Amino acid sequence: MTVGTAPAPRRRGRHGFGGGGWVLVLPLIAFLAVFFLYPLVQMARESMSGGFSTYESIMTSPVYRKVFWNTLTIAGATTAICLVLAYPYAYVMNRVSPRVRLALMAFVLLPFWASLLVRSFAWIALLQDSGLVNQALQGLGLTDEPLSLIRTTPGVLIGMVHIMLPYMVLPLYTAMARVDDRLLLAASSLGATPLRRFVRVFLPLTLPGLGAGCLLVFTISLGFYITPALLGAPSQAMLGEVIAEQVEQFGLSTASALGIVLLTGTLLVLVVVALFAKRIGRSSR
Amino acid sequence: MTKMTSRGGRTIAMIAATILPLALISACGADESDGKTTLTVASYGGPYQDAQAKAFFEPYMKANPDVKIVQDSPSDNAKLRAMVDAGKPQWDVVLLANDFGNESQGKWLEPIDYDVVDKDALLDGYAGKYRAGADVEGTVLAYREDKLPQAPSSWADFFDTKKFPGKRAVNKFAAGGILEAALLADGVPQAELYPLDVDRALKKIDTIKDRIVWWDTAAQSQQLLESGEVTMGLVWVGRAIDAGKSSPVSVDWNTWLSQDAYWMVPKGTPNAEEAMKLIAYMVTKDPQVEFTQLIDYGTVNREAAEVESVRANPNRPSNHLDTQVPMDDEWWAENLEGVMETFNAWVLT
Repeated sequence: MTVGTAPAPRRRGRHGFGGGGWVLVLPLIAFLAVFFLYPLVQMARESMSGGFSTYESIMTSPVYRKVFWNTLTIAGATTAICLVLAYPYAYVMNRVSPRVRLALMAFVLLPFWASLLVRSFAWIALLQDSGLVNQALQGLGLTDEPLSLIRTTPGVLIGMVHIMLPYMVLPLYTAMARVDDRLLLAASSLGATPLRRFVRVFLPLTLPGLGAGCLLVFTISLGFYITPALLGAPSQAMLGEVIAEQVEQFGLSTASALGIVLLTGTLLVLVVVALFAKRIGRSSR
Repeated sequence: MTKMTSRGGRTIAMIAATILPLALISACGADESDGKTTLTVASYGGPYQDAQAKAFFEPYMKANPDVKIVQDSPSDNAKLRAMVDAGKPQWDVVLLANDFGNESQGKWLEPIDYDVVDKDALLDGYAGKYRAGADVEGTVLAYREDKLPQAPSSWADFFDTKKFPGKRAVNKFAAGGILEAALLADGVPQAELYPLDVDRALKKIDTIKDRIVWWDTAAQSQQLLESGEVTMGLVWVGRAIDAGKSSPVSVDWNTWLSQDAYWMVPKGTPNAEEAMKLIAYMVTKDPQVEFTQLIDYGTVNREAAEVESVRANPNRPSNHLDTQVPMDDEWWAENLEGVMETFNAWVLT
């Protein structure tokens, strides 16, 4: 009640709330506790309903090993392709007139506003054997047989990269916008070649954005379900698809264990990246 | 401080004033408030359930003013089991497919009362201990007339990608019919199909595995046929016929597997008696004929199957019972889990 009127004795930052500030976070915490934490605990219990045996069979099964491998490589490849495409794009966005920038931004965000399901089906219409791309290729006489663009790893990657690009472009754009141009000028005036200027000045300054983008794309990609199910084949299924299949056909036990494994894996990635970022942060200081 | 408590007290009073009537409404809304029996019927939903409502539920309510039928959808094996296990089934009559209602699943179901339901009216095989047939569907071999040199006429043709080039659409489900199709194509006589030799079947499917496009949803199977992405498919008959309306897709009626729907009554429902009466009505001749006029599925009623307007449709499954390969639902009920594990692992590699 006293916010803003009486000065708090010890201000924490600029927006001290006194003692009652925690009340403001209570609704969200309560929401998460009821709708996230509690189900998560239930899920962990469900996965342990047969002791560790469920985990044991998951870890020893060559099928699941392949699925884990598929998940990691497809998420990794999606991240790499997004980075390669988004970095120059974000750079150009920072160098053009505001009007062009708006157009470029719209290009990235437009697909963001369309439903993921609709986009995946649109890719099917485009990429399938009898789809537009293959019709065009065959019409131009470039191929006789339709190319297998769908139900293959490239098909999954096309769909996933399309969906994940905004998550890479936006953090990179923000990081690049914050780079002080005078630093680049200074580097040039001290005789740095453009390449050296990029590697020693620009790239390190955009690393936080690059890290955030990669982390977002990679962790979200790990849990992908609909896109690989629609654009891929079962032989390169990702974990999300296998979890869904387990829930539908066998019940919750193995599915919960797979979910816990995915969650643990994702957290591990986060921890490793956080440690790595800390080290970089320290060494650059 | 006093202001706070009074405000808090008012809030509680307001919440109570909101919740109490709601609780009262839900308490008395349940059943026989006006002497009526409310039967809750769960089916698959969509145009299919609409047809059932028109052919079965509405005329039944008209003839029995003391019964009110409330519809729910979709029905689901797991949900039914959970309801019965919890001791409070909300459904009185449920429609499910071949994989439920077998004798090994009797602990979740009331036995069909054949003193009420006329057993002799039903086609052979459609009067089970715990289920009565609802309609005859089928998993059929559908093909693109325009993309194949000739029409396929045997299970072996489905696996012959030289004579019949192109991809195949197949349900990504162990009990979806592909194992049976593979064994029949491999020369296993129909009479010796069960118990299924799963390894032999998978070996046979391996010969065309790279030509198979797996479908998860029926809509997908229809799209694959319509777009010409596949030249043949093992699909549900309704989808094959729908695809045939917009593109040159035909059904080969020499090669089809049973796929049916059955009415069942969850164990422990207080309305079991009324539920049996409804089922008895739904399998009689007139409603069955009416149903077939609304949808292309086959009838389970012996007399209805002979009616001219029912016979007239060349794609009605019940007109091809002589070539039907009946799936052994009892065997599947007992072996589904194990076969599914083998099959799913095989699909993923």
